[in-house]
Amino acid sequence: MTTVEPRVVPGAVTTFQVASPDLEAVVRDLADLRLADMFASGAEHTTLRLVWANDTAGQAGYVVTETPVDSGEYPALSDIAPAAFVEECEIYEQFGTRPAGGKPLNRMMLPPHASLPTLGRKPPAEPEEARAPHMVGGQAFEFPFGPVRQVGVESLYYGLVTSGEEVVDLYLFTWHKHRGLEWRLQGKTPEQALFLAERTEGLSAVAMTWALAAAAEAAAGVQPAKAAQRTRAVALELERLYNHAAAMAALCQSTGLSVGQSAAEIALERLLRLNASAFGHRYLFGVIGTGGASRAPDTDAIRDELPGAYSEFKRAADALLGTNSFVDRLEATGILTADQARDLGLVGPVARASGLTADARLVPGGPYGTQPAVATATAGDVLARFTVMLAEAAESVRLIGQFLDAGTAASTIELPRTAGTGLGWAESPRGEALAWVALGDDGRIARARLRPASARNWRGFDDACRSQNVFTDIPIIEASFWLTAAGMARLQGRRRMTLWFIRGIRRGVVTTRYPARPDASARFLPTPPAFRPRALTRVTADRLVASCPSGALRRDGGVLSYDVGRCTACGRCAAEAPAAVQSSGEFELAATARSVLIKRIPLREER
Amino acid sequence: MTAEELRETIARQFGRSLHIRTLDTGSCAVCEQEIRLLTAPHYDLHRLGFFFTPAPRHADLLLVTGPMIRAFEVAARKTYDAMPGPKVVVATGACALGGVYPADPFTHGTVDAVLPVDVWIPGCPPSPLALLHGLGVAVGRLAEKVRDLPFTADDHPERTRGDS
Amino acid sequence: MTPLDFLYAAAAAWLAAALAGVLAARTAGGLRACCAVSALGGVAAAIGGGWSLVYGDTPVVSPGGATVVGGPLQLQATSLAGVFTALLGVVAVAIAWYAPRYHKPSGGTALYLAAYNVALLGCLAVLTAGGMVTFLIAWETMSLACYLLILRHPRAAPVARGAFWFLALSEAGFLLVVAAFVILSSKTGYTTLAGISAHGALVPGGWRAAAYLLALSGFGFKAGLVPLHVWLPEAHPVAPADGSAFLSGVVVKMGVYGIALFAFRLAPPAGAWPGLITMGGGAVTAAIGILYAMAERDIKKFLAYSTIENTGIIVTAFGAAMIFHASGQQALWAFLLIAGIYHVANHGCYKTLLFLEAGVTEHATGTRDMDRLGGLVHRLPRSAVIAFAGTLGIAALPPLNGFVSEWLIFQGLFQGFRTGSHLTGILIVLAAGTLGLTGGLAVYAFVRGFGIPYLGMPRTRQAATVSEKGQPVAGPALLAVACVALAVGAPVMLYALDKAARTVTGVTLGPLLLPGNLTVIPAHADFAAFSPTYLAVFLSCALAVPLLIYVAGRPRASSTTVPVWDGGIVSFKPRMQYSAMTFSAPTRVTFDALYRPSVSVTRPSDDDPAGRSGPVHYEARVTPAFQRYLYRPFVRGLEWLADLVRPVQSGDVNLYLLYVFVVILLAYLLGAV
Repeated sequence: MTTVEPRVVPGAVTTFQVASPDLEAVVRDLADLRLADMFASGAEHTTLRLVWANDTAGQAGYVVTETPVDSGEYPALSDIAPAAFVEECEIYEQFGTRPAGGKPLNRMMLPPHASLPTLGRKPPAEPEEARAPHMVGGQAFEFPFGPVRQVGVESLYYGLVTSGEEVVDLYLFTWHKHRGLEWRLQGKTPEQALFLAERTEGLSAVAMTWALAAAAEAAAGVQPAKAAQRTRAVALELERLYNHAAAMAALCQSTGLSVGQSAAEIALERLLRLNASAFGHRYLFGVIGTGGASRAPDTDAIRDELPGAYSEFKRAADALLGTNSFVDRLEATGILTADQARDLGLVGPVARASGLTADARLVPGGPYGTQPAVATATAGDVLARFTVMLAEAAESVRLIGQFLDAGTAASTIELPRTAGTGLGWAESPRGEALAWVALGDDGRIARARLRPASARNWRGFDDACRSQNVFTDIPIIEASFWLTAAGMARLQGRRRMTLWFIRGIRRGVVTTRYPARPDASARFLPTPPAFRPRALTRVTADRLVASCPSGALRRDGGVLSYDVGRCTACGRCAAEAPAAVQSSGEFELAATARSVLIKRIPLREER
Repeated sequence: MTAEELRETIARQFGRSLHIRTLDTGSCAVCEQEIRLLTAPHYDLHRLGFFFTPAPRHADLLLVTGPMIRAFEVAARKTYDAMPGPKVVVATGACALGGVYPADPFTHGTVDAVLPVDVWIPGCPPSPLALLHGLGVAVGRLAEKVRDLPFTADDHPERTRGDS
Repeated sequence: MTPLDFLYAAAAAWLAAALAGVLAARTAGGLRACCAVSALGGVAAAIGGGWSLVYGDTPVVSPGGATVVGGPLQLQATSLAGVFTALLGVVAVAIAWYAPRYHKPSGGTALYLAAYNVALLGCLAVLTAGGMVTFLIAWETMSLACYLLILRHPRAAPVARGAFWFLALSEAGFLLVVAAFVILSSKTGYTTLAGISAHGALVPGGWRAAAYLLALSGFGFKAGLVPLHVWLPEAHPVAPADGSAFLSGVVVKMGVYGIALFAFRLAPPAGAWPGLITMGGGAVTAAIGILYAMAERDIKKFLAYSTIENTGIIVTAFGAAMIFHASGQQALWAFLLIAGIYHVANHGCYKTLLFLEAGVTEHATGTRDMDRLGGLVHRLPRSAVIAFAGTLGIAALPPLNGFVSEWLIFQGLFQGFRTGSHLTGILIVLAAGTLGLTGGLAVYAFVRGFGIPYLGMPRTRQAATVSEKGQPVAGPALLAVACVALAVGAPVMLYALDKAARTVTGVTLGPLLLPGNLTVIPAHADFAAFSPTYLAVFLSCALAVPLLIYVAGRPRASSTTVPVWDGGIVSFKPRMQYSAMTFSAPTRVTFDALYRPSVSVTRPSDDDPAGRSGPVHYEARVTPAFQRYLYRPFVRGLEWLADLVRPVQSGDVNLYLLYVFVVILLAYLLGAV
């Protein structure tokens, strides 16, 4: 136990042990830092860890404090640090440990009507007063929205407490998408874990896998090569670009500006095709590997196509900023003050638009050597968030050019099988994504903590929505936050008014025949593998089966059973046995019977 | 109604105009992004007579993503029941087809554990082109290709990135 | 045989019912007997009133030479009062059918029924009064009987307050009415109403205007014109349901009758400006009435404000009629009088119906608060259907009667350009616009008034477990039938009203109103036309089409029943429905200058930025503008005056002796002079 006060070392992660009685004093002392995360680990002997971040440019770094809480209670931190409240609720659900003081907690991850496994022990009988009630009285009512909402958005339940016009209060239920990812990662190797980490919040796949890989590298004491780090950064900036284009499209959709939405979607599609031609996947899955990057970018493709794609983006953005009817909807809507953002520990464009300077790229020691320009604004409304995103997009283009000039390469390092703990971070398009791992002696994950930016920022959403008009402003605010429900519910699990033309009920509304000719962009899409039976020995087949993270391959005696449906085209089987596997080039794979998707490939007969 | 009759009904009734309701049973949000791009200018679903509708009562086709998380089961059944017949269920993405997440206490792992699926579209995520093809197959306008593909290398020439 | 004979019979029946009430209504049998006699009186009054529409005015009689308070009792059954009398009769029958199931036999009920029947008698006397004194005595009798009516449960504070407001403002109005009558009778030299109206020309223009304004204010207190209306939402909700129905359906119309008397029959004032004032007052009343109705959760208070709105509509019609008369448009003068009186009949029917149904709801669930009800259409199906008929009527939706009378009023107002003067034309159009706003808000308000209690899910256990057993149905059903009859039989009604209006205006509209083929036109052939009868038939047929499709199509396709789509949530709670106040929130936002709402919100995030959930409470209160800014200062002024004068009543005997001495001295001096 140290009595030295925790201090941040720029570019590094320093860990301090703090005894439970001292915890409250330490939290008060560190009040000028941002509380980035809080989590527990260890079913038998629970340790509470808090992660603090210093966001000042040039001095950015992290502090982790570790506190054993075997007694089942720890000081109530959310009274002094409101940013810790959501995590207190999660810890209670997963480990049964409550903050002292007995204040009721919200329901976070566990659905009320199912009993799911947890990371630690659950309380034997949940006490009545543990859960905070939802009660609405007087002249307001709860407008239930979801979980099945508009078309094409994720499942998320909002209870909008409204007086009929304004939003009096808002609360979210995010347990509909609780997939138990942290529970699943236990016992996996870091390489296997990256597959699931990508799918925590697919729209931040690069950031989340980078954070997890960096955490594992820190635990194993491995440093990726500089060129591979630059590859990672190129992928991250491409991810930022397409997410901001998608956010722009969502903003246009929420304000009903179809022309703007189409323009933004054109830019978005071009950026996604750029991703596919540069890295082989539209959403940049499979780029990050342990110790570096698994794929190098096609630099010619990026240099050729990025200027065009970005100019589409900029054209749409400039036109939107010049459209008064659009800007009026954004101005003074969904205001988050700097104090609110600071108290809740928000990150990303949401925090930067309220005047905070949190940006994980500022931490020295990564590939962002010369600090990227961080855009901030002070108004804290939707317009400020939008302008911050536009400025970041411009900066991303500049950074990509810079990294390509400095040289990128694909290289990975197999992590040594050692025990250790490590913290990793990356600035996802929504904000800082954090990951922490504890590796066991066999190098497998004993505890992984994934904290995408959405998990931090959703708590600011109801503050931004209060006292706004119910129906028209909330989709706008939601689009400006550009979060995902998947990113919130990863622990252990607008208004689109489509115009229907009811004309020609018998004759229909077909205007063009489909498909006229094959689409040129299709050649860059990732496709499931095809197998060479002549190269498939039983040994090879078993190696392929072990390498598939999705369970698409199985060996039945002398036949390799390949389920095309389960295949994610991740390429791990091709990397494992290149002689036996190649890309099939087929992506129109729809089937009307499930059995049609299961292919049986005969193995080479061995003498 | 036999499968053949169902297919004929679908081709006759929906072949020219179809309303689609999406359902997220726990996806990572990338499948949803690809589905949203179906109405983008590059793909433009509406020219084919397909439309999105938020009301299950008006929907003919349920486009399901995600591994059918157990906590979502009630909502999924309610959405399916709220659709009047005849209706088609299309499971989209590797998660929905049983990949990525095996069946365990959190998820069923595959959509057809809870809903009767008629068409399966593999991919992670299935690109909008794959989705359009899948929707065309679902209404009987396009032919199913995968049935005849053996996925062995002799039949698929080596394809490197950048080949046309 | 004249209509007056039927009215004598009605009066006798009601007198008998009052006695029966006092003597026998402590038992169930006596209660029923009292109501049966009251119903007979109602039938007689309805026949008498209806007949007098076409019969014309009977001569003024003093039956048996009876005298009342210093003058002969003078009675006359006029055509103008015919609709009011018929309405009185129909309402009496409906309430008589309703009361036995609503009231429990007891001493309080006995007194109540006696007071009620005396009130009926008083109303009848007001309507058949042929002389000034008779009118005033009858008016006061009616007011006092209504006061006793309201005080059915005198121990409750709101009841006492409501009754007090009723009485105080009723007396204030009475004073003004007395003044108006005195002016007219002293200038013309006659005390019979027929005499005054025949010699109206003897009254100089200024006095006529003064008398009219006094009458407008005095009767405006009773009718509920803004700003004289504040007693109405206090008094009407606290009376028993049939009492409220009677008050809103009939007694308020007595005020309207008084205004009609002074505006059309007894020395109508010259010039357009009295009509403009009347029309303007009516339009403002209508708008303010419905706006305040939107902010009420108590069903009866909501209906009370709606009564104010409808009074406004009727008075607007009368005012516009006066303007047309002043500019020589006699046909439109008669037409708008007819339209206004038609609206009186219609409103009487559906408002009474709605109050009776509110009473059924209160009886069954124990609450009048809309936010504690919901889903009553399943538990009280017959009441729901009847209430729906009343709602359609009051929201002026075709094909029911409210639509017919509002159409007539609107068509009259739209012809404002015929007055010749741009200013009056514009003002009439403004009044039409205000009535249009009112009509739109009324539809909104009554969707809320019917939808929140009857549709959706029950919001409380009380609402979920009600039953219709023992609830009165026949009385309200009669009124629903009357509503439909008034709509489909509009041509008949208009024919009778035309004849009635002739006695006052001297103008026969005949083919200018009913050109034949069951069509109605607004006093001019080239303006508009519609047929209420054909509309009703057409709409019924139109409704039949989906029914036929359903019946024909059902066997061929299988159907399943699934719950309403709720977004997939696990359990849909009743609190997740719109409530009365949240449904009307948009009007509170738009008209916040009138409402000046004060909002109080408590939510967990106010003290706790962390986002812990907890109870949320939201209240928005509407400022009662008239009470606060008009009446309270006035009452304080009176109290201040009273304080000034109090020293006079010191209690000192010597001072009183001094007063006596001073007065005698003064009397001598004045006598000497």
